[in-house]
Amino acid sequence: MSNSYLYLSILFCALATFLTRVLAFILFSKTGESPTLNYLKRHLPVMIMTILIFYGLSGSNLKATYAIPEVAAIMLSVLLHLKTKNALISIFTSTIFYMIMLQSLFA
Amino acid sequence: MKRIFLYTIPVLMGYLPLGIAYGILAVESGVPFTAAIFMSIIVFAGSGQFLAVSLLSAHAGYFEIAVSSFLLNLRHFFYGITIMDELKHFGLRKYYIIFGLTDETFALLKTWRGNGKNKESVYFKIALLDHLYWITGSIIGATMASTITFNSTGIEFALTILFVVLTIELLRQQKNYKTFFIAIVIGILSLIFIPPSKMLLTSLTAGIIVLFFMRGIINE
Repeated sequence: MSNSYLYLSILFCALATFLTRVLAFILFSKTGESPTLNYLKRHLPVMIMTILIFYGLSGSNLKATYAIPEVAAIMLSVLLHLKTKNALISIFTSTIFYMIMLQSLFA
Repeated sequence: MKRIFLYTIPVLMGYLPLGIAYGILAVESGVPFTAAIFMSIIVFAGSGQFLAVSLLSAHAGYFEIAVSSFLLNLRHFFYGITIMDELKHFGLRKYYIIFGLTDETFALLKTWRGNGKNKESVYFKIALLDHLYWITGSIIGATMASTITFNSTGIEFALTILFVVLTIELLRQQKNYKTFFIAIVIGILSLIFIPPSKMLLTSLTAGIIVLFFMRGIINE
């Protein structure tokens, strides 16, 4: 990773993130309510977040593990999160569970 | 100030461990210590930074990094709509508050019950404290990863789990299971047919197009 690539990337990430937060102030002078906006507000985040789960999976070598540790860790996180409703407990426990599986059973 | 600090403690309890996790993940993924902290200072987005680390270690292009950061954080646009009337009359500190409009800060600002007189200063301090918790967590995590050596194989899966948890949260609030199932189909298809380097942008674009074309079905 070259320094210029690294810091330029972070800069683009920062600008894009700030844009999402300031966009409403740029686009609307007063609170905008439209059916299209409400539709997107309700459906776009779930669409994007669910697809990102699969993007995350694309980083794993699913063929080598038959997706067993991946599916098991995701199932654990769903169970934990439905039960505890605590994002941190779900993320930490499931990631450590995944790491242990990958480093022992699938090493 | 004491009242504001006490009010932000729940975010402190969340941002410290999550910041630590981010710091560890960033350094273990090959992002240098300084760059990891710099990101927490100028980006300030939990899941956004997890994703950025993953994209950086995959040497993604600038365009891909910008577009995916934008789409992942697009929910903040809707926060902006909800809170803009309150912030509109603030002075210069407004821009910092907008910059710091994470999920957690937004939740705190929306539920703050105090007299309206010095709201700008209160909001500014809440955003600033949350930002400091996030940076502190990142520094602790990045320091831990730089000093302790351990087998970090598989740690990048925290990103996937984070998205699973965020999806559950969204589904719980909005109960839009139809969209969820359509997204699963898109996700599986792109996992099978699209090479990993092109997968993110392609599937996100497909998802947005499908949302527009299937509006009649989804909205039923």
